[in-house]
Amino acid sequence: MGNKSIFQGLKNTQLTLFSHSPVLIPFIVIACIQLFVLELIYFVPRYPLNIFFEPIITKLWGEQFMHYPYNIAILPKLFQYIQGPLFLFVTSFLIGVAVNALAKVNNDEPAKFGLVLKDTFKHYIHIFIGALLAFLVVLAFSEVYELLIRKALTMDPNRGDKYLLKLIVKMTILEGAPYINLLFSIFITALFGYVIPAIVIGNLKIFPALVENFKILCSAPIFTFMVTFIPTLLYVPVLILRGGAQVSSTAPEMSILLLVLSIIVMVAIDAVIYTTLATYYLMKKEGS
Amino acid sequence: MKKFIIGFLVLSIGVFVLFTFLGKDKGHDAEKVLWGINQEFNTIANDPAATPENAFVELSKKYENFVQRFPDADVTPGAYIIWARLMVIKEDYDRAKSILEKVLSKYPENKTAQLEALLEVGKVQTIQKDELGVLDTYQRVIRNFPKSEVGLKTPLLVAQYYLEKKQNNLMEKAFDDAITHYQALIADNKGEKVGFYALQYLAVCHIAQKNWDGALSAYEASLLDYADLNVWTPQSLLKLLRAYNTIYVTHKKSIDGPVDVYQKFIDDNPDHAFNPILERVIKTLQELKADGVITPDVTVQSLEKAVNAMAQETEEKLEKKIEQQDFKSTPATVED
Repeated sequence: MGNKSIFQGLKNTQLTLFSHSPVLIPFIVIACIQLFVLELIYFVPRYPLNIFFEPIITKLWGEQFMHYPYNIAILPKLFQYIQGPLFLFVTSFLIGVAVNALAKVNNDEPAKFGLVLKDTFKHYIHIFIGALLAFLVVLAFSEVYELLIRKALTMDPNRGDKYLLKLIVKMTILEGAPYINLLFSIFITALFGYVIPAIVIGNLKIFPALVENFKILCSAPIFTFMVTFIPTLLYVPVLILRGGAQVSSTAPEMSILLLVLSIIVMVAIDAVIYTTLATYYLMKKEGS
Repeated sequence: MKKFIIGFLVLSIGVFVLFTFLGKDKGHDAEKVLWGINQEFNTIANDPAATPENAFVELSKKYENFVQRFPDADVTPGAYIIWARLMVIKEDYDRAKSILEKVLSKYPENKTAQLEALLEVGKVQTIQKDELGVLDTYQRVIRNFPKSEVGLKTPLLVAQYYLEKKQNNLMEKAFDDAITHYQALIADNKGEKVGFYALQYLAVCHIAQKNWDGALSAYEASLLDYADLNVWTPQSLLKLLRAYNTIYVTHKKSIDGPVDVYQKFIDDNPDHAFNPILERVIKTLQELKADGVITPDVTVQSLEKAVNAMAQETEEKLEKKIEQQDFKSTPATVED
């Protein structure tokens, strides 16, 4: 797989997404659900939702996070907590629906959203387990990274020798956290990228799907990684903006706008990645 | 797809309108507006000299409009207080005091705001060098908020005021009043944080009056009667031990009192996290006696040196021990 095929694959994906709405719809649904969840979270510190959530937020983060502007500052954190279960129960399934729609479009079969949704539901448990595995790896990485951050916080570059090296390591761990997390999420997406296509298109159960996933991954590791990496670069400007918004506290509402933007960009990235990987899976399957 | 998008938009807008309507007048809007005004206040407070006169007037107007628009919001008493601070920066002290008096008259139920406003009044009076006004504010704090952190300390501040003025008779009377005040608080709040802190201040009053027995008995009571209260920190224990040892050994020329008290603490509280430390203190005191440090001629300096050396050595061990036993020792927060 050369550079040409990577960019060709991404270009074809764009065409597929814009010319075949059944593939795009599940991603639009994902974005809508996430935006709706964000809207609900926005109202969590306010009446009447605060009746239920105030004790939780106060206990976890402190009373000030129920009040302006800290209630806005805590939104990204709350949204991040919701993202886990949302990904496991809803997002991964809807990605499966999109992959299924792609296969149906490819086979010239009817691909109405409701029909594809129903058809994909029979794979729900396997998709869920596949998503859970990926999620657990991410969780394990987060724990390790948390430990690294704690170590970096207590690290004193002035102690002992190799001052510059220690300073660089410390700054990379602390300041580079969002980028390292992004890089890791690219790696995980690439690592488990063919699991959902294998379950939905290949009609495989979770463990055979995992085997199939790693087989394809081993046959085209660079292609898979690059197909995941290149679209994800779109998220870097969002990260830069979010970093800037944290520094400036003059407009707390800006963080909500950036969160909305990051949801849209992330879903668009997922749409490109999973459609390209599913197309590649289909090609492989048809080839064999 | 169109249907879905329209449905999603209707749902989102519906939820937004519903929650916005339900949350109306519940304080969120007031918080948001006040935050914006306070940001302007912070800018002025950071560089008052560079602030033109009309900026003060405009911001003052904003606070006035705010308190009129949200008279019952939780944040409104706070808005009055910051508005008063703005007037202090503008050096319009009388206006500042009149704004603060509004907090006192309009929000009698809000004890925290009342106390904060009263303290701000005291600050303004201090700037104005209105000494009688300050003393009057002290008395208002003692009368209205006797159990607050500031209220507990205030009787001592009154005495300190007369001490600085070298008005010995009034100072003595202030200490007598403080002792009566603290004794009443101790009697009414036995086993509670207020009682504990009142004992600490009572000891200070006795020390100021050179009533060593009174001071020692206050320290003994705080250690023995409040062993389990969640007020102790390693620092507060060491402070008490240092004071008690120093007073006892210097004025009684003996170690028997501290050793008996610490031993009684250990016997009464066999599982207490402080026991290993108290055992060590007993041992060290006995060693100091055996080494001839504690003699009838002992001086405060030599004793303090020995006690400090002991404290320094034990401080780390004490903290470690507390950490291991998960002995919760939150800093003091008194009622109100």
